[in-house]
Amino acid sequence: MTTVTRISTAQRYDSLLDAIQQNKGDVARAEAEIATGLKGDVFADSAGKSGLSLQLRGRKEVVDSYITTNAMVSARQETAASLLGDIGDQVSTVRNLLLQTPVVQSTPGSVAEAARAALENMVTSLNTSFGGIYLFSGAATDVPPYAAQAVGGYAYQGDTTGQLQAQIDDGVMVNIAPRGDAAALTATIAALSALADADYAAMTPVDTATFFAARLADLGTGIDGMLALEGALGNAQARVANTIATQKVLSLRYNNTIIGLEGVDPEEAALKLKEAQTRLDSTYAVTAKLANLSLLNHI
Amino acid sequence: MSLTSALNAAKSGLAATSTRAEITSRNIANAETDGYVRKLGQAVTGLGGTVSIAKIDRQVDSMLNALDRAGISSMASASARADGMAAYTDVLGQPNAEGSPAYYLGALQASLVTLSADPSSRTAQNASVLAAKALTGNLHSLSGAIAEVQSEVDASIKLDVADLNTALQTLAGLNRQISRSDTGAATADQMDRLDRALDVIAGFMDVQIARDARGNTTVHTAGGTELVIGDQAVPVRYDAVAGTLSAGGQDITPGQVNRGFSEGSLAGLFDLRNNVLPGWSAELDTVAAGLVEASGRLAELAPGSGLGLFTDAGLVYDDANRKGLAARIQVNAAVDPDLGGDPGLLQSGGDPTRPIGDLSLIAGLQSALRDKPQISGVGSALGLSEYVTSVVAGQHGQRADAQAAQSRVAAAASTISASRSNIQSVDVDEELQSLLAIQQAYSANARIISVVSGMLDDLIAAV
Repeated sequence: MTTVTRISTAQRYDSLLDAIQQNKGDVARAEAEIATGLKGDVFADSAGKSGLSLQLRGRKEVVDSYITTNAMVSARQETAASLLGDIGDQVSTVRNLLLQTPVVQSTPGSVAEAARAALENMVTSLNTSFGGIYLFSGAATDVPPYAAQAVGGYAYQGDTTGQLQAQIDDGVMVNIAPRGDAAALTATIAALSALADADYAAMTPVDTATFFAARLADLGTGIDGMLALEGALGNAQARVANTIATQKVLSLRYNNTIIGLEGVDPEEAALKLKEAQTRLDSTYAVTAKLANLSLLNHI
Repeated sequence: MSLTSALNAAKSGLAATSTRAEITSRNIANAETDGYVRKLGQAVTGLGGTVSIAKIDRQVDSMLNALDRAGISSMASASARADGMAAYTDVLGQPNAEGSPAYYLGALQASLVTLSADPSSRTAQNASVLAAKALTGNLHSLSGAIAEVQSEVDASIKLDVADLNTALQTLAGLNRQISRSDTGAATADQMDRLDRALDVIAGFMDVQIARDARGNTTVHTAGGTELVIGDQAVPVRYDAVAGTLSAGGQDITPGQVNRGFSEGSLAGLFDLRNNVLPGWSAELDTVAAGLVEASGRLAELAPGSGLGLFTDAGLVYDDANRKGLAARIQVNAAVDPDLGGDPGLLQSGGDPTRPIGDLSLIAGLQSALRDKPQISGVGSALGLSEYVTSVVAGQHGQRADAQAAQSRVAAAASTISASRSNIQSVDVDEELQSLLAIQQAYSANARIISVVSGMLDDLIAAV
């Protein structure tokens, strides 16, 4: 026995209208997903993981900011290291001159001249600003670390409590440059000042030799100290470089995870669109055929 | 049996087919009329073999009616919930949109990273203040969106209650017409109107329906509160201040322990009004409280002021006043250049001895935005940014669940509704087939009259 289901006229057309609306919506959604490459409703389609997507987006933005700012931190460190290297070279020139004491003992004026030049270059280097920031003033980045004194010589006027630091990751701080009042720098400045300002005319040759020997020792200590500062700065530079590399990997991983959570597979999206279009096309065809299928056409 | 009897029978046949033709034409005319039930003339044989249409039957399945009304109620409540939630979450947007506090908090954190690399930069300071203002602006906007939806929900409840009372009055009026009619029983058309009114009522709330043999219909809420008894409709009243619904003094507020109801658009709207939207609003307030509290506690902008980057409308925050904070939260005017403030306070904290390159205050603020706020309502393992994310994802999740429920309910309800329509509504082709039979019957009866009339003429001529 066959059961014939009765279908009312209103229901027949209501069903077709509903089907057309549903299929049109499916086509529109599939088109939007293909156009944007993203799921239409991440929160519905990635239930339980949408929070992760949001979290990663926020995290990625922060990490990308760190990558940008750490590049600037790295450039500042590079500048500070370069300046320290220049200072070391200048001081080494004076030191090498003093190593020839028997020769220069008779011409102390040349030593004084070389020391003065080295001192001025050193102060100029330490007072160099990078992007408007004084690198060797500690946290007092608006103040040049050294200023000439009315009585002669130079005095440190920067920050004496903290270091010039940067936050290269959440809660991770590194030094950008040593402070200008670091022992190695102040000792070197003192030695160069003494060499530049000494009254050699009043000294006996023996006194001059003793004075030169003492300053030679001071400059040696200063150069060793500056090498240590450069070493520490080099370590900080390496730390920043490693952090940037890690952050770039993290940013890429976050991006891939976000795309995985929010993105649509292009082939799958294209198939969905094709399937929705076929369904819509079929529904239109059925609607058109049914409109012509009526007993009215035969009586 | 005589020729006269034959004429009478044929005449009654003509009358009966005329009535059937009228019924069929009405059926065809109302084929697309919502709620119209197909009618059939019930023919009976009378004395002398005559035929008459004794009764007009309605093709009704009362079980399907009850199931369909339950579906209408469920679909209405699911739609109200899903639509109301979507009205707000559309403002939140998808993860890639600039609509949620998670996005703006991320932007603020990123701006603070930039500032921490260059604490004395006025540009970076201004950018951080702008990012903070964008975050508070977003919280204001979302808070306003919730208030807007809340207002729409209130208006919808009022409209629904008014329409419900109209439908209840219509039903009571029909009961009155039926009881005062000559037969004391409902006509087929009155029964159609009764069913339509009940369908309308089912859209607002799930109800219990009882109908006596004459068609008189009584209506109670699903919990048993009287709504229509005989020709009396009990007015339903909405108290917008208390957020309650009552019928004849009886509390029927959905979601409460009472003799009310749990489905229908009013149930969905009350769920939004009394549960969903206040819950979401409280979550936004908690986000705002986390921002104000953390920035004030860990990164004071003026020593001893208790005020950080975020304030409660310029004042020190008191957690007792958390309600509504998302609408009041402001960036501290002291750092807002638009209000004459100094964004440099983000770095100096108002301490003139703090070196300009000191980033401890900025780092403290960054930490405050990451760490767990010292306020109730935030999960023990969650930092502020995780909490903000969980709020956004949770609200969207509720909306997605509501929409999924709406789809499920709609699929089930539309199947039942289609079955009801298929059984009770008109199929034009079927009516046309009936019309052919009626036409033949009419022709046959007319032919009999013609033949018998001829026979009588012959008889008279022969006399």
